[in-house]
Amino acid sequence: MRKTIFTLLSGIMIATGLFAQKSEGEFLVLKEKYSFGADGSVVYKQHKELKVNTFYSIHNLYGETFIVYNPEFQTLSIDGCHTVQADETVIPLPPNALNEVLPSAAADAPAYNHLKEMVVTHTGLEPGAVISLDYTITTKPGFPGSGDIFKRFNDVSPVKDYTLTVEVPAGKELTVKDNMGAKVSREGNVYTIKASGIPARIAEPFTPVDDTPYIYASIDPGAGAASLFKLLPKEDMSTLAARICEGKTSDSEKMGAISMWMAENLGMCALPLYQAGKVRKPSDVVRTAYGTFEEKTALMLSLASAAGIDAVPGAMFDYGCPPCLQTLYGSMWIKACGKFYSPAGPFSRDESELAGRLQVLSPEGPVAVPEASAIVNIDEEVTLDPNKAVDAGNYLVFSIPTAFKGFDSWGIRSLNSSRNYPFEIPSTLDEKVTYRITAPEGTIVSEPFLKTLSSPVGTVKVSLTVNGNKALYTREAKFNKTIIPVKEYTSFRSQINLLKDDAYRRIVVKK
Amino acid sequence: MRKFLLAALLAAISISIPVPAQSWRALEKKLARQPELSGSDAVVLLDSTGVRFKDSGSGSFDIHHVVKIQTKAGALAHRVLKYDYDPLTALAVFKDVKVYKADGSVKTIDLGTVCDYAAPARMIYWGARQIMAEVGELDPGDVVDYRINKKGFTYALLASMPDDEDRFIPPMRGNFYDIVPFWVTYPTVTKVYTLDVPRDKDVQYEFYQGECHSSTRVDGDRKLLTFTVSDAKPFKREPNMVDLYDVAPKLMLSSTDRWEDKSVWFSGVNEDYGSFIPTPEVEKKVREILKGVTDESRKIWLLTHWVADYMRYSGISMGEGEGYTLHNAKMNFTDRCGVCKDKASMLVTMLRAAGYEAHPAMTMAGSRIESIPADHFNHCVVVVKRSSGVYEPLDPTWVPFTRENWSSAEQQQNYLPGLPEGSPLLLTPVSAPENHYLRLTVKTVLDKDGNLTGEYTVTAEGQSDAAVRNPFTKGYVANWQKAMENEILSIDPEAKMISVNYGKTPDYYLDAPIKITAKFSIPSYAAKTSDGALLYKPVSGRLYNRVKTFLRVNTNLPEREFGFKDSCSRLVEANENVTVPKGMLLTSASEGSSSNEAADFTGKISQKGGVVNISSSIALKKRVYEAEDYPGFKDAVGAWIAIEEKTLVIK
Repeated sequence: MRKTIFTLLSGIMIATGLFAQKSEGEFLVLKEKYSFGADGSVVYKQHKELKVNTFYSIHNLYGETFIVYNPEFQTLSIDGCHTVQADETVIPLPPNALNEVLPSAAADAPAYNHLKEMVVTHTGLEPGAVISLDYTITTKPGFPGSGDIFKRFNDVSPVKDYTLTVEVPAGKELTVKDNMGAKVSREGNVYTIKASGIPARIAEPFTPVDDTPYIYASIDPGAGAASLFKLLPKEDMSTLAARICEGKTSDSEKMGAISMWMAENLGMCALPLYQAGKVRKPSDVVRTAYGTFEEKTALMLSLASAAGIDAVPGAMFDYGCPPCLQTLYGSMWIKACGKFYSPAGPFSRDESELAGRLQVLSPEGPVAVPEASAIVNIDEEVTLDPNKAVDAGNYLVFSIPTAFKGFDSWGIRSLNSSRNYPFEIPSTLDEKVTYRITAPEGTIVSEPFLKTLSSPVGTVKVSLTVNGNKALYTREAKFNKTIIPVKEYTSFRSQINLLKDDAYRRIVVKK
Repeated sequence: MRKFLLAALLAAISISIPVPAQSWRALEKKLARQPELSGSDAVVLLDSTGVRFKDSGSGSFDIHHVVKIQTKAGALAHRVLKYDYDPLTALAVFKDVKVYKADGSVKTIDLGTVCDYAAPARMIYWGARQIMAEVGELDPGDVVDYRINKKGFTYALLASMPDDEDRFIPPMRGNFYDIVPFWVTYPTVTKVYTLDVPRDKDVQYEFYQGECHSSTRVDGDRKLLTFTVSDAKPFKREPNMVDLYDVAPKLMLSSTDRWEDKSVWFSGVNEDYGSFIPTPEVEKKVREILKGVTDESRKIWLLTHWVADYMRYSGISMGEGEGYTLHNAKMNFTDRCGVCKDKASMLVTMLRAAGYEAHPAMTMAGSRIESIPADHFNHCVVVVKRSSGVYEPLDPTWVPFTRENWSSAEQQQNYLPGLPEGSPLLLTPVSAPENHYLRLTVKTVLDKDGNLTGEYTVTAEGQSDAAVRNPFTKGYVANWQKAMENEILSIDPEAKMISVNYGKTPDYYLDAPIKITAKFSIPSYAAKTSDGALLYKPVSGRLYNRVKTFLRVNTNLPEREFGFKDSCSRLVEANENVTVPKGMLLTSASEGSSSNEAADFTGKISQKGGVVNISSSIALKKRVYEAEDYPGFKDAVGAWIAIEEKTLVIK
């Protein structure tokens, strides 16, 4: 149940120093309150006071607040909104500044055409102005995942004071988990979770998701994630399954055909379940030719079942925080024939390829996922092609081939010299690349090199030896962990640069 | 017989009577004779729009589409049918949706299931709506046949949905215009547009950039104009080409005689509404902004940029009149937000409060406006009368944080000032490349092992200034230093930024062009060979390439059929001095030049003493180029690359 696109930040233990810098804005106050009814209803209230400091924050960041809700289950009320300008002039919210539109994720999906996105346009903004907004979302019982509270704090402006108040039904306990040192107190059936001085968080590439501060609270921990599987409807799809699988004999062939059929015949609706609020029947998905991830999962399961294939759904959640519908990792998979099939496209992965920093749940419980590791061994003869060289007078400059797996496939570009957050690489790595190079014409005049760099993350070694028109290039990279803490970043960056540097990726041939 | 069937169908369409069910079967047979279209995802058998125009100017649009699905991708693309409308000026409804299945069965969509809803929106929240019919699962061979009726016009809105039909009458009462693209997404067997007008109504029209069958027929007190294109194919596209409106077939119609009439109307509608009457608060702000300023140009500059920067782009509806009426001063100054027309209104008001004659103007960003006065506008700007008596265009929407009053990203663009005395359609001039210079001065020292140390200075003006300054004006404050380092890393990932000086307030752009100086070092930058040579690539060719937008124009095409666009005219000058190790020489100097109507280039690589110099100057003279300009543009850019991206051998 996402109440707002404003996701805020936290992480008071992260001494990044960002708080001291000039930031785009500052949340002077951010208060949220959940009141859980005994019948499963929830009343959510938010109050924010946000100071905007820069033109960028006004033009690009905070001009509007977007609030998505599902009128089948929820009602929204804007309880108050105004702007206090730098000279303390109060600009009340004009009535025409409240406009409801269809959330873009619900476009082209008639079954979800009732969803609403309230756009609150903040008027009177100027540097130094403070936006004030209060709103309430009331949720009926039965809305999927509404028993869980999950907030990730990743806004580019700091939060001075954050308060989460949770009122639980009599006899219920609230479970709270966070990674930001929030202070939890209880008075009767009201819990208060407080944090202050939450720094701004400006995204850096390759930041691990679980490094982002969060607070999770639930009156029934785990139930939200588990409810996912109970919501998947089953239906007899034997007629369609027979048509799709016609001529296929093995289970693997049948699953491949089902996967392909789904990719070619169904559109995608990217609404998350905590907004969609329901999972339609497989026959409705086929009839309307589109579905959400969960709806396609249910259809694929029904088709597999009709085809006599033993298939189990799996759901992937963000790593490092309690699984709930708000942390569903964007997709579900179906395990069948020893593979994981995507209901969204004609993709399947071997179990080993699924390895990584994920949490996978099946209806039976957590699924163990091994640490992702890549072992790359490339040993190739390379004959230099003059048509692919840069002509430099008496010389031709060739680039060492790029590998399609291992380090070269990670897509790491130039890295800044400093970093605020840990760096995550896709897997540990044990890579050895050897190119036995021949220049068909001319003499290789590259200077030989041998460079080795070691760090707590691992070792990188590049070398080149030359003999006439032949050269031997080797590259070895061993990275023994996937999360590189900030204190190890500088030495790790040097290793990355060594692997990427043109100086160690070119061959010069004298014509 | 075939010809008769087709003619009968077109005749039925052209007189706006209901087309007999499945009369498109003749078109399907015509399609069957074109096997080369069998691979297309879908083929439009009929794309028909019939417009009945009333004296008031209100129109009733009957839209009839028949699409044959040929592949699964075509089926998915048509699983829902959508149509946009503005509820305050128009009403749109599906009249009929059927699917003729390949097996001969017919599926009729229940019109009670049609969705009518506020469309997804960002930046403009005027209540635009869509209707959507769900067709659902389709198979190759199916034919989707649907009709939509729309009443109204496509410009503005009038208040709170009255029950009568007044809301469908356009603000320029009695006038009608339409802009009808005749290019197609899918192969189309027949595309037809008919206009049914009172017999005595004069309508100017022209079919541009293609051919059609056209006719005018008189029937009682009505006149029918029909335009038909057969066997249309998707229009060919080229990278960086001009807008399709500038090259693809289109039909323009208007009952307005001259642009001057439209100009007078646009002026009147906003003057009558009182859009530009300043409030005391606005007058106070103008006095505050202009305190101590006497120079006319400076006054206009400061007011234009106050509106540009302090009034953000976000459109909320004023209710009656939205779309063509400019929000008034009270609303604009309080809201501090609006779309282009509201920013224009705020600037007109402030200029008038400062004693200048100023008016709003309409323009079309992205494509040409034709001589026929159809309202082909998507943008609103301002003209101010200078003391010389000359009107100068200003655009507060496109110049936030840009050192121009009129964005040169809009040069060679038509505009129509709304003047009480009327104005013809005007064209903004080309902005000289010198107005948008990017100058790079690089001084480096190369050692015998290929290690490089040095510094560069970048200065820029106009659109180039805006691009160089971008990290400070449109990026996070906390990332300024990293953005500067990223520029150096674009030379080489091993580059180290030793220092950078961008002044104290690089985000403040109003007083002087940007200047940034940075010192850097790069280990093993030049490749060292075993026979004692160093291979060096000019640093200036790798710096600020995001500003050198001409590099994003594809010059690999041997020729171009259509005109093409760069983002702006521009002058890029680079001067790089490399001190090389003692005794080492540049093995081959080089020189190049190119001069033509599109672009000029001069460049040279030379050595004097121990210093190798790489210098280049390229002037890209336009924003919008004709296809005939392409060889010259390609030559100049190619010559720039030959100098700035050359690998130099120093031995």
